[in-house]
Amino acid sequence: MTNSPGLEFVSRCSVLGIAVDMPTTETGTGKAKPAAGRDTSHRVAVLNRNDRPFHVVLAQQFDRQIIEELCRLADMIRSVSGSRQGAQFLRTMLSHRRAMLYFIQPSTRTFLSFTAACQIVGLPYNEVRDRSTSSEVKGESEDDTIRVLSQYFDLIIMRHPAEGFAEHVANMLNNMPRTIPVINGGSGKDQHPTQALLDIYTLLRSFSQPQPEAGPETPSGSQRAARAEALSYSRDVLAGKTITFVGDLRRGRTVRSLTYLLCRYPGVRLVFVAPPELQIDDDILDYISHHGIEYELSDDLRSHVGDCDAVYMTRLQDEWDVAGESKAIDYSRYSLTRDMAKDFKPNLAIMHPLPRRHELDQELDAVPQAKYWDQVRNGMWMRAALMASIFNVDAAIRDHYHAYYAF
Amino acid sequence: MLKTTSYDSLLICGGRIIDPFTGRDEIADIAVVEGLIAQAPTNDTHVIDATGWIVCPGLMDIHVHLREPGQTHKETIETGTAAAVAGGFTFVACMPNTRPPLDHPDAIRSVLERARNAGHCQVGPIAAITKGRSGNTITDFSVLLDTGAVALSDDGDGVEDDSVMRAAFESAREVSAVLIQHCEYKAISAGGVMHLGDVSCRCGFPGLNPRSEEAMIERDIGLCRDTGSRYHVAHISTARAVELVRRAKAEGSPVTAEVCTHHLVLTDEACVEGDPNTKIHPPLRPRTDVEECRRGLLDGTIDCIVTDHAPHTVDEKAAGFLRAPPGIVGLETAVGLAAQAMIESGLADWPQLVAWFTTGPAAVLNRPPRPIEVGARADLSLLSPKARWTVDPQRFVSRGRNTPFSGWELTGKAIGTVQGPQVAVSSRAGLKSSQQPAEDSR
Repeated sequence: MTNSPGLEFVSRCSVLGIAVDMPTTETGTGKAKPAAGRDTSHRVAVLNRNDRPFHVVLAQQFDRQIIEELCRLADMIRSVSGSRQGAQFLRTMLSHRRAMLYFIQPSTRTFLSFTAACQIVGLPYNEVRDRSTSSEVKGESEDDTIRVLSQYFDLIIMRHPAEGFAEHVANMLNNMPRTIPVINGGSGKDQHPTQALLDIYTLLRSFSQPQPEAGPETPSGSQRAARAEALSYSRDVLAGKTITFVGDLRRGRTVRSLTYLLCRYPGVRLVFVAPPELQIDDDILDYISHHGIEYELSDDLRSHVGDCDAVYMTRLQDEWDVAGESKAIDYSRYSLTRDMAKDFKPNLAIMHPLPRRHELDQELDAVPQAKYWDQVRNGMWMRAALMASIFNVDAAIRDHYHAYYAF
Repeated sequence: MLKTTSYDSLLICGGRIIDPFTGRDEIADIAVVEGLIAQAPTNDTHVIDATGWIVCPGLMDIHVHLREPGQTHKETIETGTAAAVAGGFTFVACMPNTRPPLDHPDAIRSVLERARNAGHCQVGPIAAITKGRSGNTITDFSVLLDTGAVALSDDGDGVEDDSVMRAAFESAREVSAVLIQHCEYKAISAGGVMHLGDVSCRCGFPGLNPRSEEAMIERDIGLCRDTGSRYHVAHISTARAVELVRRAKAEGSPVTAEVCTHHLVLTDEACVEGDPNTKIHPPLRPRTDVEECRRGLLDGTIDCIVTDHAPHTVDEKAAGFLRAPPGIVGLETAVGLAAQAMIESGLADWPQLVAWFTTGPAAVLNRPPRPIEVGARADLSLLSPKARWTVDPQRFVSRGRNTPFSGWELTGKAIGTVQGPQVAVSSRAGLKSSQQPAEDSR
């Protein structure tokens, strides 16, 4: 196997001279998978080690404590990386490991978010983005391809078009003598746990801050550190908050994954605003009810804008149309426009997984409530925190932070 | 619930007598007077209508865990032996992985005394091969056997150290003891919770390499051949392991083997939903292994069927597949499961099945034959081969409810036992009996 051209390609180090600060967004897609998975306990158990995610495959793996730890860690990484000395320290954290980015479903933003995160924690990576260059064209099964990769690398980050493939890979790797972790960077139409983590990170940060953030982040490490210290994710900041999801909710996996995480926060209220034919699937509503979370379904955005503490916009996922059926939908009714801004709460968080079309007016970019660019950057920090956590270097980062950056 | 009644005189009418000790297989009546098999009952006799039933020598299960001393929240000698009787067994050999382990004559005496006090069935304690079951130093075999131990085993763990096992074989030869090995090298099986194979790759539970079983059998067979000392493979489960024993027997080595009922009916597919009641050591195996175990019974490679009855509490099993302790209860489902595996499949008949539970285990432990003959103490099992029933763990006599067979429909079940003057039946068995004069029943 080692002399196949496909694997030479895999082993070759890729050099990416691309700016990292690009939007990391999801072209989240897909119809709901029928089993939203209330009974995921044994599926989650095999993905975890010591009750913590080892493979990161399902949003259901993350409980509140782990979410909050990751948020704090992401804040610390953000602070520490602000200085040359801190950034250099972070780059020693995982320099002894190697990651494989197995991204055979087209993706640029998520891919770059992961590569940026790898660079932050000093994790060298290689990439496979095209199956036609690997031994699979010689008839090697994809399972075997993954098994081979698992011998070269210490982490596989994958995006794959097949639903459930990341979970399958994790299960298979559990049975290899050398088990390495897998991070699901989006598999098929069902799960996208890292997007859910960056979304909840954005929500928690937004609600934890006394004043809405204006403008870009200040580069001063000490100021950031002071702010990070001030954020307390363990406070019940989501209780009593109304999170409104808008748009094509039936076919968006980002909404599904985030909903799993929000169900960990009793007292949060969810509103789903969508055209009736694109309203969120019943399996998710079952999951929400099962967890005792209050929700409301609506098809009128304007009447809800004034009540929202966060509004999560999504675009029309018409690539999943079978016969252009969504052309008949007046999607302008599910668009956030400049003239609605007068009704916004001052602390509103406007979010969008991007890419956007017309549902999110460009004129809104200037309002202080717009959080979608922060959301992109949060994704990079969160993914770096996740890798640090998987490889158990989170304690070292916390120690470094407390030694040099905390006051 | 187990119902036990004593009768001075008893007539078991119209049953099919299957006695593998003598090869007898016929419809006949059996009289039991004052606990002994008699030519005829006395005038005022109790009659059990055994029409359609099988009457056979009491079944033996030489691999059970009674959990006493030390883990009586899981099972006690009292409840475990009652469950044995409800399953048709009149003898169980209990494993020494209690707390403390049965590595001392006092512990053996204590088990025997508690079993006598419970009074349900005979118990043969199996003593530990090594002190504290630690695998380091062998116990005093001769004293343990003199106290009443029926064999030696560190069950739950294999004796991994070669020199310790060699010493055990040599010591066992001196006293003609049987060494029963739980074949598993932890270094090979480490971390595994189910069989390593396609199914474990599919559901993600870490696989347990079957070589851990086969490698230890291979080593032990060599030591057995060298020393000529008796060696018994506990709960054999892989095709290759069966083949190893087959070859050793062909070479004339004094090797025997047992297979568990669950390894004859379930495959590793049963684990995919993560039911902790499918977590068993050795683990459930793929179909090819199950089929080879059945073949091993048929060609005599495997000598007997056991249950590896391993009760755990509901809470312990609720820890999930990865963390739950391995093992399932089996005494009360043994006959039905064995019948499903070997008889419903058309592979064997009832006389063979009865032999795997009577002559087979008796030979393994060198126990004297117990033929059904006049003058002998009554030691009988009553089986209903046609009874269809549904497994309901809530109705188990055992304290353990941990079975993967809940809700299974089985054909064939144990009705109860006759031991001396005592007739014991599980209260739901539907015993057809009446008190009437002997002559009326003729």
